[in-house]
Amino acid sequence: MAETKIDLKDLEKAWKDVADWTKDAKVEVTNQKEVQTVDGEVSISNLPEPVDVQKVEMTNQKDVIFPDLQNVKDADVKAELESIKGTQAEIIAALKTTNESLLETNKKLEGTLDTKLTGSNLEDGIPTINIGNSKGIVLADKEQIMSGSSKTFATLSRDNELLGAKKISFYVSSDQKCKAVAYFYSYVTDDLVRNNIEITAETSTTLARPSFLTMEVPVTKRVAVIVTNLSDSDAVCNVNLGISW
Amino acid sequence: MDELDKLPRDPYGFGEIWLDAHECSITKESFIKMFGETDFLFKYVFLYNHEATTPMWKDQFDAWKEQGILN
Repeated sequence: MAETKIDLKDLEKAWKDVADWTKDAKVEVTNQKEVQTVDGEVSISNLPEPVDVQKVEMTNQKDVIFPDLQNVKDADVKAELESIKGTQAEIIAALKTTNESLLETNKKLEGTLDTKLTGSNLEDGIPTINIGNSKGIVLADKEQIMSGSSKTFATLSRDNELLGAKKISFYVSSDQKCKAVAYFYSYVTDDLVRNNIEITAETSTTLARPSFLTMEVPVTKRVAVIVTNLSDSDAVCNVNLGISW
Repeated sequence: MDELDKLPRDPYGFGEIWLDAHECSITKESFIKMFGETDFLFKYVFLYNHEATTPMWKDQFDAWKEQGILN
């Protein structure tokens, strides 16, 4: 073997160059693959293939059928759109007509519906009103009134029974000759205000018919009916109200 | 009939005589019309046995007697 002579200075210089080169060198690994481990001995037979070259096989694939008509003209689309707009306008017009018809029907019904009590309920003396926005209030149920005296039957202000009421009907009956007068409480002072509304006296213990028909109601929280017994005997009376909004 | 003015008045402010036994009221004129204008008007026995007195009025006269209004 031939002997090679190396100058010590050259060797030192070489080592120094290597040191300088590795000092500032940066090693960057890109596109690093996942580490794959293999159990047992590594051989060609079980060597895993790199991920980026693994095969993907698609099964159960359907055939794609493209429509024959691929070319649609803008004019055709516009015509179809105009047709849809026309149909929409017809539907809106029909709905508007129907709505107006319903409103007109409601107005007619409001005008013709009568809250007067009729039928067997009246004969039972029970003021039950179930037509529209109406209700009945029993103010006196077989209340006794001393002969020659009066008795006041009033609604309760705390219940807001008359809130928004537009019409009211009075039903008074008695087994003796009586006179009934309707009173309205002042909305501000809550004092009774006489309205000189006399309700026809009846000599009947049942509410066979309204003693006073529907009237407009002033703004009030309470209504009172004062029944005066005009006979020489003690009386029994019923007082009911029919209120509608 | 000053004694009539001493009777309790109704709570509604009408100024009528208040009949608390049955929560009724009567005007002074109606009361006089029923039982007459007599010196015996405030005698319990007179009123209780008056021909115009009904069972309910008897209740009232009993109440007034208990309250010391009638004697």
